[in-house]
Order: sequence, then structure tokens, then C-alpha cells
Amino acid sequence: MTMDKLISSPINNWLTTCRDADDIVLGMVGRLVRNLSGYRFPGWSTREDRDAVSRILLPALRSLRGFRDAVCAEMSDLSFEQRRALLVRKQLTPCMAARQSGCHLLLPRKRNVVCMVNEEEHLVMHVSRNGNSVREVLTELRKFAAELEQKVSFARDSRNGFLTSMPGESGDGIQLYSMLHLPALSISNMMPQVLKAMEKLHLNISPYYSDGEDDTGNMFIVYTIPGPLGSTDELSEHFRRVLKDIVTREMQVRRKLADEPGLVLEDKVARAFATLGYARRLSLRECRNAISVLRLGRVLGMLQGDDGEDVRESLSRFRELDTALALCTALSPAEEEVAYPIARALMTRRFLADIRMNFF
Amino acid sequence: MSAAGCMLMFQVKKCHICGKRASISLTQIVNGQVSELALCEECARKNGLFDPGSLSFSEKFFPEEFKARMDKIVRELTERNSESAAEDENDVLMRCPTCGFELPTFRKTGRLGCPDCYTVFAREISLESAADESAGEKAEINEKDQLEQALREAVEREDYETAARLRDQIRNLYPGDAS
Repeated sequence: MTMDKLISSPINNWLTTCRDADDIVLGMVGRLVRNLSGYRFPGWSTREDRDAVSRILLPALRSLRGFRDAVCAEMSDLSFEQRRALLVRKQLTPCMAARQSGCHLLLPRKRNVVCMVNEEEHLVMHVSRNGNSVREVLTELRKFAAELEQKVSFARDSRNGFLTSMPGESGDGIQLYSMLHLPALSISNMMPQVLKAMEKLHLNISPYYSDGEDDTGNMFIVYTIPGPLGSTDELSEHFRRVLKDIVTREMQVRRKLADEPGLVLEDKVARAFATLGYARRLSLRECRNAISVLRLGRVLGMLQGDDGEDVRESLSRFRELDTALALCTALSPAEEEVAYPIARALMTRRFLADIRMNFF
Repeated sequence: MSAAGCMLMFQVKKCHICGKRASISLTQIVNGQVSELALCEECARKNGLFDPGSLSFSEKFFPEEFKARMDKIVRELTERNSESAAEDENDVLMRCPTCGFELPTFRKTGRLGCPDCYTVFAREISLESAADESAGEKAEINEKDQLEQALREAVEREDYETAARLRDQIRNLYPGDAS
């Protein structure tokens, strides 16, 4: 299978399939990093170093269960459009998207796994799942790590654990990321409090869409700080508890917003519906924010899908629309100005033709 | 110093104090551990090794007293020498022999060149991580102090709305310090 065929095939289901009807924890990514002794880290490496690292790691990765049919590409062989599509599909990191010769991407066809050789570290592996699935992601990541460690000897020492290019990130070499949709907390201006709380809880939070906008779709990524050797179990449990707390808080605020007198939330949903249903030009930011409010309206029963479509199905369709819109990102400011706002508005109008508003 | 001994002998070496050509070498044996110091004439004189005038009456006429003085000088110089040797060692390890990565680049970027850099720059890495921990603690203390100061000021000027907001903020951020 070629990279083009893979990119045109249906997107990984974790990104577009809704697991939880409350639409808060969208998905989870586990990141594993490993390095080889005796070779420069990719940030400083020469072509020879990168080739030598690839010669060791690629056969080891291909021998993993489920990796035999993996599509493999050297970054220098991928076009700008291919990289952009892979970024949107979360099958590439922004760091890897900027890499060139000697850096390889390995994508097993039937698994939500991405392997990058010579990204920021010699090996970076991402395992993804939809919904709140900390334990599943961690288990799968550890299984791959154990299998790989039988074939390759990774750089580690007793004091620092697995060695990484940044000393502060050495240790277990595992990080967990969770994609969250928090419209109620955002609408209620409570995100600064969440941000502060995450800092106190030793977790990081950043906007989901890293395109420099402050307010993009009420989506956020919460992630763990790399921990020292042997700390991942404790960290992951802490992470799971914090996610649970965020979900509880978001649900409380949703109920509060829905019960607020003066139809404030309903007004927001109706306005978002009208914007997406009738606008002729839409910026990506406007689009994402309106979609987020509609998703909230669908969860709270203010919107209904056609033919008795259930909430999960509707939300999955919204997520597909989100991804399709992201693929429609501008190539340059000039093109953004001319073509994409019109294309976006057309896409959302078509999408909303099947959705009814159900006001009480 | 139970089995300490000290002797003088002439050799061509560099002075451990100033780096000039040494004219004498001191070898001290303490509990079987041999340490050697080379000194130029000037530094030896400064330390009272060639100057009879610098010796006290007892040191001139009682061998035990003279030996004690010599032991003291050699001990001091040995300590000084081991400190400067450590500094020299750090200077030598400014560059990783495996990847050629240099210490100033680590200080600037916070990144290392290869896994072997962890051994080469071990001391610097521990210093950095200790500094990071300390900075994190200080930032937390500063933030809390600032909030509490703002709360006191709000109460003083009887701005109870702001005071209540700040109190809630402190409660949310530091649940254990709600009082």
C-alpha cells in the first residue's frame, strides 16, 4: 500500500468515532520515546547517523506483531500535501513534519499506531484510542516497548532511566495526552482556573489546534510531564483521576448553563446553527467555535439528527466535519482569503441540511 | 596521619601553584596513599620551604616540630591541588568525546547531543535539575504571596468584592490553605 492510498483511506476511527455520549474526552495518545547509545540525538545528527539509526530500528519495528504490512516512508519523499493530511489525521507530529532525509514514518494499516524514526528522539511511538482510555493505551504502549526491548538495546542508565535529548524528560520515556472538548467551561470563562489547577497538579494543558488562535473550538490537550523511572503507573492513575474531575466539572457547568434562565445557552446554539447553516464565508476559527457549540447543543438534546440518529452517531459526524474542515486549512494567506472561507461555508451548509433543531 | 611521611626530591615538573617550571617535588605518603606536589622555587619560598627565617626556634631545632610543619604545608597544598585538578577535569569535559557536543550548547538549549553526554556532563545535569526544582518552588511561593498581598490590600481598602474573588482564587489553587 502506498502512502497516498493510506491517506485517502477512511480516517483512523479513534479520531472520528465518538465513544462517550457526553463528548468530553475525545481521545487519548500514549507517547513512547527511546534512543540508541552511541548515536547523536536527531536534533544534531548527520545523515550518516540517521541512516545508521534507521537501519537498526526499522527492521525491529517491522518485526512487531501487526507491523508487517506497515506503510513506510522517508520524510523527504512526502509532499507538503501528504504531510498536511497526515498531521490532520494525527499520524505525524509537527516536529516530524519538518524533518527530511534519514527520518522515517512507519504506519501499520490496521492499528492506531504511529512510529517515527529520528523525530525529536531516535524512536517515537504513538498509540491512540478514542474516549477516556488511559489504561488501554498504557498497556498497549508497554507491550510494544517490551517487544522492542528484546530486539534492540536502548540507551538507559540506573539513575536517569531511558535517556532522551532533554535530561528533564528522561525516565520511563512515556507520556500520556488526552484531547478534551470543554465548551461549557470555556463559555463560562472558567478555563483560566482549569489552567491554573493543571499547573498545580503537575499536568500541562494547551489548545488542541496549534494554529496560533486563542479560542479555537473549545478543544484542549491535557498531558503528563515525563516522569522518572518507575513513575508511570502512579502518574497515569493521577492523570486518570484528574481527567475524571475535569469531566465532572464540565458536566456540572453544562447542567448549570442549560438551567440558566433567559435561554442563554439555547440562544448560543441557535445562533451557531444559523451561522453554519446560512453563512457564505466562514473563517476556520468561527467554524470551529460554532461546531463546538452545536456539539454541546446535540449532547443536551437541543438538536436532533435525521432518521433517529443517536447522539454518538451525530457526534461522530460532527467530528468528521471537524477533520474535513481541518484538511481544508489554507495553504497560504492569499488562498485562505479567496477560496477556503467559501469552501468551509459550503461544507457546513451541506452538513447541517440533515440536522434539525429541537427547541423545547 | 598515623603513618605519615614526607620527603623532598629534585625533579623537572610544572609547579602545581603557578604552573612555572618546578624545582622541587614533595611526595607525601599517608596511610599508604602517595600524593605528589611539584613547586617552583618562588612558591616553595612563599610556603617557607627554603627560608630558614620563616621557621620558628622549635622548628629549627626539633625534627618533630619541623616534620609537623612540613606535613601541614603538604596537606594544604594537596587539598588545593585536588580542587584545581577537579576544575581542570571539568575543563577537559567541556566536550563530549562521542558526539562532539559542547557544554555551552547544553547550557543554552537544555538539550544534549547523545546518550553519552549524560555521563560526560553529569555534574552540570544535576545542577540544572536542582536549579529547576528550586525555581519551581520559588515561583509557587511568589504567586501565593502575591495573591495574599493583593487580598490584604483589597481588605484594607474595603474592596470586599475583589477580596472575595481573591480568597476564592487562593482556595481553589491551594485547597489545603483555605484558612
